[in-house]
Amino acid sequence: MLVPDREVVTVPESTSLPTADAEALRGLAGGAVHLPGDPLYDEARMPWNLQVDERPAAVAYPADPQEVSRIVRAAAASGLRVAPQGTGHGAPPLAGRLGDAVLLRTSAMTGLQVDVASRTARVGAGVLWGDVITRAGRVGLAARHTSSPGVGVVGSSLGGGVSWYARQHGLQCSAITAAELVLADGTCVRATETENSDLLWAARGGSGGFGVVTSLEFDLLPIRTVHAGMLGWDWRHARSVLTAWGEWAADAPEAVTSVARIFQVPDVDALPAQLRGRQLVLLDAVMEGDEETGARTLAPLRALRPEIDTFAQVPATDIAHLQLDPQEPTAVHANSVLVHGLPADAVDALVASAGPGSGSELLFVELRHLGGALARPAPRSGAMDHLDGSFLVLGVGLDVGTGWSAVREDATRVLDSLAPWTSSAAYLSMAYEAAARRGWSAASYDRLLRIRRSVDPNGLFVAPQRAADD
Amino acid sequence: MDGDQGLQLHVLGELTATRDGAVVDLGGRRQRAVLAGLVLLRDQVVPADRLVHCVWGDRPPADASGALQAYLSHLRRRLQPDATARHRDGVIARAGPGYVLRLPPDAVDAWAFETAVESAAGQAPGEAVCTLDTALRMWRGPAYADYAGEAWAEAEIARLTELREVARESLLRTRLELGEAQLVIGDLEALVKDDPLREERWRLLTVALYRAHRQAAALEALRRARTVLADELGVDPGPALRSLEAEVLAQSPHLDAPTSSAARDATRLVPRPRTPDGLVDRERELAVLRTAIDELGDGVSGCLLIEGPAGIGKTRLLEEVRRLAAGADVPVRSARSSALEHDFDFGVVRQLFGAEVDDVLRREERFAVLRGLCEVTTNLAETAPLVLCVDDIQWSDEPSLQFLAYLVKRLDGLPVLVVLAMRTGEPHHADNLLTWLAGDESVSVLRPAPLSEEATALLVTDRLGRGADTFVAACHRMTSGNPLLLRQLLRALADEGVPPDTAHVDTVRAVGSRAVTSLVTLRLRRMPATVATVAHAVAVLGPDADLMSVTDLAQRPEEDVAAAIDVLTRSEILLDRQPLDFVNPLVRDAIHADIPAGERALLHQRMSRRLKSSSSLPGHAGARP
Repeated sequence: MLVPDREVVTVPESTSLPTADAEALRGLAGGAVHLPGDPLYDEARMPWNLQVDERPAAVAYPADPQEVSRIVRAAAASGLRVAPQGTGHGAPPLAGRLGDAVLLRTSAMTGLQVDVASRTARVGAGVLWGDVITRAGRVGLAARHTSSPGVGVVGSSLGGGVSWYARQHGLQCSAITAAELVLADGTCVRATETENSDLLWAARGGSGGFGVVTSLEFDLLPIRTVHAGMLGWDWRHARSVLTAWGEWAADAPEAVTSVARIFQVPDVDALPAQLRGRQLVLLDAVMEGDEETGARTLAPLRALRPEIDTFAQVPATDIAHLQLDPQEPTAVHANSVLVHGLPADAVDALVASAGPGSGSELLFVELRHLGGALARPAPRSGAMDHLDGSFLVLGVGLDVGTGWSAVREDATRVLDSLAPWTSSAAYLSMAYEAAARRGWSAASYDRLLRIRRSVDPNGLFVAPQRAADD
Repeated sequence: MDGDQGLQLHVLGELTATRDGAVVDLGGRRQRAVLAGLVLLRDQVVPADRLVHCVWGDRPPADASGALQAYLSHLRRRLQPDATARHRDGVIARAGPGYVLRLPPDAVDAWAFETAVESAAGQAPGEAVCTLDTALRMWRGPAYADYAGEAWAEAEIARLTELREVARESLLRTRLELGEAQLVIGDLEALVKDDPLREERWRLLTVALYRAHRQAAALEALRRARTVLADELGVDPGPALRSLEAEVLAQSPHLDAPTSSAARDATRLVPRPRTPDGLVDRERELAVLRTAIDELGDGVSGCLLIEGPAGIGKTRLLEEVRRLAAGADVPVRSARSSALEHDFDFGVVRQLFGAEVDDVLRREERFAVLRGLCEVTTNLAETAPLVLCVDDIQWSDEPSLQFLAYLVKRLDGLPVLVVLAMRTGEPHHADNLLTWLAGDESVSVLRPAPLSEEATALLVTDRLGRGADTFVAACHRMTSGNPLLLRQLLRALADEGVPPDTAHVDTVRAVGSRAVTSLVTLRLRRMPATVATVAHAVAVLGPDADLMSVTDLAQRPEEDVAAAIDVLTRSEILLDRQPLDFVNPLVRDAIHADIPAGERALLHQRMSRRLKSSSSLPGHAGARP
């Protein structure tokens, strides 16, 4: 039946246009392209962080640089932008920016090689940290991995990467030795110290927005076993424990990386029974060295008589699950600040805003001890080469039925309570609400923008953070 | 609290542990020895000093009990990571002066193996085969492999090894009872070679050979047994072998395969949930095929049409027909149509009958040809029942299809079973004939359904280890339960070492949302160059590919080609059979289309040279257009 002309005009443009444009992508990537209305579209567009509910023009799963290149060209030709995404753990800053973009998910690029002799890994953009931990662990090597093994290597590396080895061995992004990218014009390039060195510099902590990184090469560490575990107390003791930990951390050797958390543990089966449904203050730490040294180092904290103590000499691969992060997609809000020092006043302010009686409903507030190698400029030059703060304070909340704005307010209130000690810098991978400019020094930020403009003059790529001019 | 959820210990091979499919790090050899010592005595209390002996033998260190405590505490932490220190006695419990392992009987492979072997003894043959086969698959190497030669492990290793040998014999004996004589001869030869002093193996081999109508070979086997026993032990064969020899010479009816309805019913009523190479969710179809083959043995004709979309497993069921027919000693003629040969008149018929029908096909009138072909079939079926299998009949040339239709109408009274496989959703060249076949009431239609989520979980476990529910669900959803796509997906995931956990669900989506064809070509691109070249050569050669022709075309050393074929077979790109063929025409076409233009030209050039030089050979590919 013919449709009268008049009715065609009334079709709203906004809903019909992106779909029509993305049609050109259909059939690329061996058929792994999903457009609105396709059966897999809704599943494929959802990132790990389910708080983000974007409807991109298409979702594509290319499996190699050539397929990426074809998608980039087709998107550009159709007037669409391209947003690369691994697991989508850091998706929140993309909210509201994907309507005219092809979400290019890198999960099919699963190539992973570990070179024992040179102690390096080469990973495709779809590789997860858990894959690297397992593979490298088999040959006695360890990586500067995130606390959750389900996070993608490439995305977290480009954004910095604070690992359990960070105080001794620096940021993961500083360990990057080479990157392969597909640029806005569809060309595949390799970036090393000698060729496309600007792009390698940008890959070292520059976060993204200059191409689709299809693989990274980086150094591994010859670490087989570590002394690691968790100490736990009821959160009634938050103040004394955090004060003691703050002092302890200030003196701790660089071989020790520790994290303190005020944790309101949900009552879910996935968690160990002795934690479920409780409000606790937890200290997690990883130390390079033997059991004896570990025990000596921990003695001042054990003097506070923790009710949970899981420290032991363990294979380095075990620390992948130290923090019990959920592996399945979850809706979470996270924001953080970098602070200089953790004096008693700061602990008081934090406990008052997040501890017993505070009314905070955040899942946890985490204090990650930085300093050591993280405070010094890395030997290899990169967009992010140190972190300006001695602790990272992170507030993480789930929607407990009061709505996201309540969670956001909760986190803001806690982080604001630390304002007197807060640095002007921010670690963007965990600060979804911070302005992009705060992620880098002024000089580095300007250089990043210059590099982006030169390789992507039309702004084809959606950067992971919302920059001032994005 | 149940701290051992999903914990599995493995001692049939090196000592390892897994929880929910993920490997648990048990620490060094000494620490694991403590666990081995506990598994060994099953539910008995093991005194601490015996554990010390397991770890250090006769030379324990000064503070052995302190060190033992440390090992125990580490093991407990590994085995029950989610429990507090005080509650970690759920798996390794203290009991009086020693320790005891508290695990369900199916949590330790050696225990489960023993239970399975015992229960198989009371099962119907069909079920027993399944039980024994599954049990034997638990073995990954010699029992307690890392403690071979340790005095404390010796007796248990010997006991388990003996039990394994007995189970292997029982499995083949039961298959022999089920009428699979021809199929077990190879396995029995291997068993005999492993341990020529076990007389039961010689007995089974002799019976199998006899039932496979190889009386001379059966007697020869008995002679070999006599020689070995005399040379090695200086004894004569025992009474079982001696009376067997007499029975073979006398052609005793006792030696015949049990044809009693009891044995048959047993196989029919208890369908094996999984045949050895992982056919799942096809119990109903297999029952129909078994019945058809059984009835054929009684002279009842039949025609089965297996119908379904690409990759649903039609070819796999045809293979099952061939396997069952071989077990029943029924000859099978097979053909497979291809889109390329659809204009080649009587191409399928030629594949079925070869040069035997050259004269008939020269007749001028079409009906004379059809009648002649029917006569050839009748003559063949006079000596023994016959199975005709034709795969992909949607691409068959029309004259061959006419013959099949003509034959099916005249099957009554002929011991002939015609099994046809037809892909749905393809444009048909001979619609009316196919429609007639599918609608004829003498034709039984089988429509294999997509795999269930449970079956998907089985295949995931098989390829990648036990999968998280979310992972299995994603595999099922991505493939819509299509076995071909599922296998290719799981192969691709296995190639990349993807663990079947929740974190990798998006990897499943990424890989699984590709078309099966692109998945195969992608995998091929990641394999070594020789493997790709060999796959290309097989694709260009089509139905006549064999080791020689592929070697010729690929111009690589024969051993490299053989190794590449092996890789392609294990990767489920090629079928494990000669002549070489792809698992599915879709796969063949995808690989053919993926050959770089230059290479394709070169391969076609070599192919035509090859055809020219061999066109003088009768019945060879030279006849093809």
